[in-house]
Amino acid sequence: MTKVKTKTVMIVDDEPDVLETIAQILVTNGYKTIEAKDGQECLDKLREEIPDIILLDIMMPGMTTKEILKAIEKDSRLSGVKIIFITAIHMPEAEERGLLAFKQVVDFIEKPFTIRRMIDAIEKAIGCFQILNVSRI
Amino acid sequence: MDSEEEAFGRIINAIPSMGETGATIDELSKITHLERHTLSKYLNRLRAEGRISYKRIGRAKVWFVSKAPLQHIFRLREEDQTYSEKIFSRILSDIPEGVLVLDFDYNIVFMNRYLLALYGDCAGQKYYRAIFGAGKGKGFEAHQNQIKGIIEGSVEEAESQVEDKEGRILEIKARKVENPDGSFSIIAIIRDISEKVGREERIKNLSELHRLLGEAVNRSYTIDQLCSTILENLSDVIGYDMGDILIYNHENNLLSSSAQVGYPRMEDRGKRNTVDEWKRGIARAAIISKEPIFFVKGKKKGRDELFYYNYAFELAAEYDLQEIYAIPLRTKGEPHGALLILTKRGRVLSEEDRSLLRGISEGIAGGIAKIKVEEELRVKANAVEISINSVFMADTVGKLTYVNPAFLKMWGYERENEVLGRSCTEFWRQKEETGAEDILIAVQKKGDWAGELIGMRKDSSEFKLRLSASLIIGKKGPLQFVAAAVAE
Repeated sequence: MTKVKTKTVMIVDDEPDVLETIAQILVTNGYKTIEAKDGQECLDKLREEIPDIILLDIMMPGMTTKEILKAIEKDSRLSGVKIIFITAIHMPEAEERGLLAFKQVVDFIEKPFTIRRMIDAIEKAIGCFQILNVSRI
Repeated sequence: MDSEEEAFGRIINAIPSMGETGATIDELSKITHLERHTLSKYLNRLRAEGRISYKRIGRAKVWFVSKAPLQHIFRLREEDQTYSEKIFSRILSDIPEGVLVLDFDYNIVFMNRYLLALYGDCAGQKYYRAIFGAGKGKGFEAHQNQIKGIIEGSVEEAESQVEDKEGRILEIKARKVENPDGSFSIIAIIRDISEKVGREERIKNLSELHRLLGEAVNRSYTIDQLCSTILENLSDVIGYDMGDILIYNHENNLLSSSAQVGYPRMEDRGKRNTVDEWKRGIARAAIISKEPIFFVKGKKKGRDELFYYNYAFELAAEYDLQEIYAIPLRTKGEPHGALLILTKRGRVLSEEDRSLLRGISEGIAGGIAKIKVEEELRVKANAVEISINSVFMADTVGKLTYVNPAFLKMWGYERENEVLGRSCTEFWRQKEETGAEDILIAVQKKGDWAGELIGMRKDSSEFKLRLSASLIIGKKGPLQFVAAAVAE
């Protein structure tokens, strides 16, 4: 029997309740989680562990989203990481800010959102990841 | 020395010869052998130069040689000034505010370079006539009363904002000063604050427009209603003849008129369509270029204007227009339409007006986007309302906050208030006797839940149902549950 590797999701959000709720739900749904409350903590933790997916809030104090994305893009170890935005800003605004131009960004979830929507986005992103891996073989 | 300077010299020498009490014009006329009329003219000239001054005693003027009045320094030729006087006069001359010295007969005794640039050399002239002309400007009367108050001694200093003869807004701070010879003058510091006042006016107008826009957004139910109110509000602040707001539809990539104001009635439907096409052409050009378009009739077109120029030209000819100003209505992300402001011959949009329109455009676009979202939500809410499946929402502890009519029907209730606020666990039980509240815990933990339950109606009868529930995450954390149920 093939052992399926547990997927790791990093959650980056400055709202502790959002961070805690999503982390708890993902753990219950069989994911491993890494939590970060801002961009700097996100990059610090990425040096130690590489997740499969990053759920990234767009509006956070400290580093801008663009700075975080550029740092991730520059790090070749993180090239396979998929990024899903979870944010209170609308997609056109994110587009205007040039945030959707990053190749690793695969989905955009506007708050408020249902957990179903988030799980679907994660599963889709992982599927996308697996397809990419298969095609490389 | 010319004859005039010679006469001046005679007058200057004659005044002190009369002693400390000063000299009247009759006394001076006898000593200087100058006719009263000529003498009066020379006295005024000398007074304007600050070389002499007078005190009024009854109806007569008693003249003195100015011992060291401030204004005298400025009238001396530079080579005649002491080092300190040179420094002092240069500072006052070059100060970036107007300095004006006035005697108590309202004669201008001195004005510095700042004021010379605005009014030319008015020394010797009457203050009000030189600066305010006919004196019909805003704030003139109040200013006049203030200066009178200083002269009469009721106030020592005064501050006012007053419009001058050229329409400039001046800020004037005036103060009574005693000259070393005992006479009095008024020193006024004058600043042209037209630009500042204009800027404040623009900000005030912009703030007012934003306030009206906010009100319009709150009160409007549809985009058309919002756009009509916006055009009305704009016409209160900016003078224009005709205006349109065209809305961009993302789905079909088309522009359509949402509101227009000021157009004459056009019976010919074909012509009306053509005019609408011209307007859409101009609006499209503004949206694509992401910049306002300013068409002025008779102005030669530039290379970049070819795209819309023909439309603008035709529209201008049709309505005898002078100017067309088309502003794209964009939020940060996307275009929502365009605002067209048209003026007929004889009326122009000032840079301030255009700046105001640019300033409010993003707010208008935001308002349109908000109403658009609300319209979409209303449509979706209607879909939920007419759904044959039960839909309900509950807060994080499971208290019902919304139910649709299908829910009431399925559970046998008539009105929402019979169920809202009650715990959703009162409306079902699990098939296995594990307790209905487990579903809430499951949703809290896993984020969603789907499965079969036994529904419990108002009349205590039971029915099988399938339920799907999900937790909603808001900006600051878990908000509520949303669930849909269908009877099996």
